[in-house]
Amino acid sequence: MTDCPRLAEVERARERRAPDAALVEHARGCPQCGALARIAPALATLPVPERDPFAIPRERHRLLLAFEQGLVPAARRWWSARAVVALVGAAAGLAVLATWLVHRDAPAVNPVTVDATDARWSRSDEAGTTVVHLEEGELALHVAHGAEPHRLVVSLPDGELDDLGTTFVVRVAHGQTTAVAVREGAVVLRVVGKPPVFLVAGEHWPVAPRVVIAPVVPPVVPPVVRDGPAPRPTPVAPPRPSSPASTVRIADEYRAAVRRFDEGDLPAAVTALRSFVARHPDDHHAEDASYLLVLALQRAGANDQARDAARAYLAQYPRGFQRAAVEPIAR
Amino acid sequence: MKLRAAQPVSDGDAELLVRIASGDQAALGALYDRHCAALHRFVARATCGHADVDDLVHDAFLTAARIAARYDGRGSARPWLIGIAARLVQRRGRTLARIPRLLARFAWSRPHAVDPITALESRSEIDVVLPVIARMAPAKRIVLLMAELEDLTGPEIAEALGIPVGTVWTRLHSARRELIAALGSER
Repeated sequence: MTDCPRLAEVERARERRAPDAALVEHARGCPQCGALARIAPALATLPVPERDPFAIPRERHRLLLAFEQGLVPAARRWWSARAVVALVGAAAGLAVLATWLVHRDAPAVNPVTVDATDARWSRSDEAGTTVVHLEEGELALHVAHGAEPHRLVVSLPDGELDDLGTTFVVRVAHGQTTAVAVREGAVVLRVVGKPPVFLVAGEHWPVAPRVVIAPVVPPVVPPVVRDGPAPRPTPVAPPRPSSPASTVRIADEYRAAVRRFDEGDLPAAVTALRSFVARHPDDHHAEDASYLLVLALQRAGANDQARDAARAYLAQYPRGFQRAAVEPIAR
Repeated sequence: MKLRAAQPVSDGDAELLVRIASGDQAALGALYDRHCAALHRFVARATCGHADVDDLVHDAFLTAARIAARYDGRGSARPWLIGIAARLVQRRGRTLARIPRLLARFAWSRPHAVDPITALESRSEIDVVLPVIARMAPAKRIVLLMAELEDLTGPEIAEALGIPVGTVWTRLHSARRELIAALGSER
């Protein structure tokens, strides 16, 4: 195909979104210029890889975690850069020295206020950060954020609470965090072994009773009474701690359950998923398995059981990825 | 105190970016929900479906959150986000990722067709466009996608990529000629 000398002209007219009658007429007869209109539809046919249904919530969660973790380092980088400038510049150095000489005896004002009536706690303050160690009882904390950034971390027996500009109450009982209530601002609660919880003003975090879906129990066969000594009960091995091998085995178990679900073998999928959720409630696949169990029950027509499973999911994962999808089923 | 239900986000993109600049995590979540599909689609096409599409989209949103305070307040942040993603795609192309990307060009396959009739109808178009796009220089491919699929103007593309408008026209003209030649020979 030979190059049309008016191609660039037609391109410019398209860019201006102001069609020129002569150019439109030309493009109608010129195969090269006429093909310009085919480019966008042709590009729209370019394939986009399919994403699995959990990809969007998973990527969203990853993004928000990275954003949250980036807030504090960003402030630190700013400070270190400022410190370098202050050290290098002689004039700035003199100003810092003069300020220090004037204010060295002035008492430092800490922006963190702690109200404790009956609590066992301690605090440590250093360089823009206050760490409150709460062992037992209830604390009400307030951070008066001024021009200078100040970070507050509440160290808990089973995790930590990271302040993001706030007034909040936190309670610990018997070595376990039992309640957090946020009045202003926001906090991030990180309890060991659980995903972080982001709480804003008006929200609270209760310790929900752990809901475990009942495992599949084999039918109990009544013992046959015979003459002679009674048979000795078979000893039941206690659950073993997690090991790399067992982690692989758990992942295989999950994959097998999902495969059954994908193949449409719903009764087998329900059994496998229910068993997985009951046996590995703390595994990172447990939430996905609980959700798939709801879907499998629903698709199998067991609506009552699907509703119960949906309620169990919501109780177990009140801020779960699939909350929006599960809530209508739970009603 | 009662647990507060999640509030529906009705803010525009400009308001969301103001909130993100002040460290509001929920606003970033809302911006992600609104534009992740468009960004994923753009990055997948701009990288010829390379495996790190999710990472690039993640980096684009994270970069947007970091520079949210510099947002110019336009109603839709989509062109701005596309611009950030395009720069990241270009930067990635300049790193050692070139070699796997080169290999991936040969392995880029179509996803499983959902609708066989639609797939059959668009088959010939894909067969023509796919090799041309895969062979095209990334800088030209990105400009072409931004103009033809994202409907950005030349000055918008130039601003998003930090290049002169004249360079945009040159790349666009060259990319279109390559595609037109392929589409013409197919007929």
